[in-house]
Amino acid sequence: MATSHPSQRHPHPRRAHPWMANSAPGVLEGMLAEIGAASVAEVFEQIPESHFRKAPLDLPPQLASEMELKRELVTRLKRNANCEDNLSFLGAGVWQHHVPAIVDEIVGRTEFATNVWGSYQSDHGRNQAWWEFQSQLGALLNLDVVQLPVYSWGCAIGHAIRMAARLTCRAKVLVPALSDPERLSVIRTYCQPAGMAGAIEVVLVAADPTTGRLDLSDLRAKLGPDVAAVYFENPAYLGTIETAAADIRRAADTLREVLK
Amino acid sequence: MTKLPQFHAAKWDEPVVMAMGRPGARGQLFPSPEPEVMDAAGPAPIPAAMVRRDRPDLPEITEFEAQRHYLHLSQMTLGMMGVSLFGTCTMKYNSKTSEFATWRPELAEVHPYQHPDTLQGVLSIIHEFDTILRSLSGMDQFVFQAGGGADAAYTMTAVARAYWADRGLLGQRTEMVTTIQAHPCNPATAAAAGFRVINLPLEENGYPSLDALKAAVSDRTALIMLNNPDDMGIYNPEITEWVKAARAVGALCFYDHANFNGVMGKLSARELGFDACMFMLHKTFGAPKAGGGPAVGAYGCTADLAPYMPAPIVTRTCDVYALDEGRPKSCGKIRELWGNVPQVVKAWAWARAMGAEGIQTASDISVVANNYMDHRLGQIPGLAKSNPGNRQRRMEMTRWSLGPLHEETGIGTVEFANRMADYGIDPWWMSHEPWIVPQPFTPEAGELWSKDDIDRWIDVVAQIAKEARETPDLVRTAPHNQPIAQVKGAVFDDPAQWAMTWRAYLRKRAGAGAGAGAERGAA
Repeated sequence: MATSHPSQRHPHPRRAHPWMANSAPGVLEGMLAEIGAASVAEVFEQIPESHFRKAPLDLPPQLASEMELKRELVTRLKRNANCEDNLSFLGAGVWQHHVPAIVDEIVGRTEFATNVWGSYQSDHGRNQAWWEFQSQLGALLNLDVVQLPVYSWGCAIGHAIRMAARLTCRAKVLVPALSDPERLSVIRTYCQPAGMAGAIEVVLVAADPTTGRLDLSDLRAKLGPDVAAVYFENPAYLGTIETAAADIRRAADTLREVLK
Repeated sequence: MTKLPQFHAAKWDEPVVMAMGRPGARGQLFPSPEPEVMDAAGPAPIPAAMVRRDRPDLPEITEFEAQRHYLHLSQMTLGMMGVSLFGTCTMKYNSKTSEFATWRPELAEVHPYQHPDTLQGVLSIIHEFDTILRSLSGMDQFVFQAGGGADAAYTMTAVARAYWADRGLLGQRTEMVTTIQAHPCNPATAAAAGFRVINLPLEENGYPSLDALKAAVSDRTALIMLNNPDDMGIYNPEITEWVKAARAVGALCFYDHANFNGVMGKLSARELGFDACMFMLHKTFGAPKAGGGPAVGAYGCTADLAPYMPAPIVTRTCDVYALDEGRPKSCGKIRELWGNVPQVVKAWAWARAMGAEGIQTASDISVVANNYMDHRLGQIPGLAKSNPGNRQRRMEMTRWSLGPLHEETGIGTVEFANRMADYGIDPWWMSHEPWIVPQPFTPEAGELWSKDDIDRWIDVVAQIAKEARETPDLVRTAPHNQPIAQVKGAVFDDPAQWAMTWRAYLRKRAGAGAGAGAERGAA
């Protein structure tokens, strides 16, 4: 199969790869013979010759054996200091949890942990597990509708804000000034830069300097009929409990009457 | 024909977990805080106004019962442990070596705000993987913050906003041009980012014409988003002219490399003229997405665009790795923190285990195997290939149609998918919307499956086509060998008939006067 075609500049492997059944000797050639192709290059006939890359691949050496791969993984990871050996009070949205051993067993089950998305015809167990997850979160939150997770906490807020803007036809959201800067940055991404047609203005609500809770007078001053949503957290970013949740909710509710 | 599998899925016939257990039973106990902590927190650490009054209605079961129930659910999941040629998702072997490595405390028990000097191991992996993707794409910098392919496309739109805002042209560059063969998430993310979307229709060759693109782009175009080859398995040979036409009006060019498997090591996005691209690590690079994620869309771009990327970027200076957060022109965060790091580690492990040699072999195998599959599927009466006018060999997947068989028998692609599960074969992928061919299906062999696996899959398709003609009711009423019977899609139009949680299910059942007994199965 030696050829000068650009798709075939790489040398052919001398041994089969453990992750590729058809890399065993002769298999590729057998399939090529069955389809009447003279070479591997022929199956790439759609790609114009000038499109094939000119720069050769420059990758670190192959670690095809499990022993080499594991050694490299472990050697590198051991250069991290971890929170099992060291006491850590770092938080800010990433907290250490106890994870029950059976959780590791279940999430590691290969039926669950593959590339597969999970067709309902064949993966009923996966779909039931998801539904039970939603049900248990529904019980914790006292909510009837729970979805599977989106990408992250900040992304969930971003989705919620854009939904609120569409539901209310308003383009302003109130967010605590004492927010996680990472999360706030994600919120700003979802709200779009000022000047775009769909931009939502992010207005920060001040914190009471003694309690860390939302400054309700600042909230009321900023809460007008142009506000689509008020977002706050409990516990708040600095670990305080927002005790005035019901008052915040009532203040926001007064704006619902403006809606059709 | 290979021997068809005699398969029957496990069926445990037990209640949903919400209906299990007994009052007071416990699966986990938690130790009481130490007296010093109790004293410091006081008798009521949660203010009265915020204390929850009711108890959550959670199942009360033992640790063993939780383990057994969820093991039963895993047993009622095929999860590609048969043969899955699920096109557009690129089924791979998901290495347990790398999976278990990410469970070690050296990765599972670290915090992203630790000092980078204490995270040199994982930072070296992220940085080396960045250089691997740079070599595969020709780009100058990658970032792994995006939580999936669509999120990487969204990253591109955020970068484009920052790029045009920096030039004072965000008010003018308001349009994104793509084609209907792009993944629906490309136009959707651009729209969510605030761009007006122009979607080009396909023409006779299977892709839009260059003239249509030239008519669509202008000094209003912020960016174009393309994938190539598409889900039909067709490679647009005019792609370099497309990029030139877009660049001529100043637009940015984004290569959605979702369909990278057949061109790994063959094409370089940079050499084709693109400014940026993305790879799906939970697909092409062997990290398991486990149904709905976590996933990673790796976003890479040229040095010209790199200042606008989301931060942090992993840097290396004299063999010391660090996080660069100080990027004043950055578009802002797409997600918090660094991304789904365990998935990045698994993708790095995949790339290291494959090496340049293995990656080249994998793309060879992917395209040869798909053409072998095309050859055999073409011999089954009633099946039709998309774009029959295009006689060239397809790339790593092909969009097929059951149109003729459906006209003859009334059996279509949904019925086939239902019946495949009866043979222990994962149902096929049909097609993203819109359906360009009637009754579509899209197989992709990739480099994982053996020729015997592919033959078995095709033999099952041939068997179901035979059943469609001889015993159509058997197909129409499938699946028969799965834990549940056929899911009837029509009920989803009636909210009274479905529920997203157990509590909603109980409420709707009570409302319908049917009682709220513990029924089996997910409602």
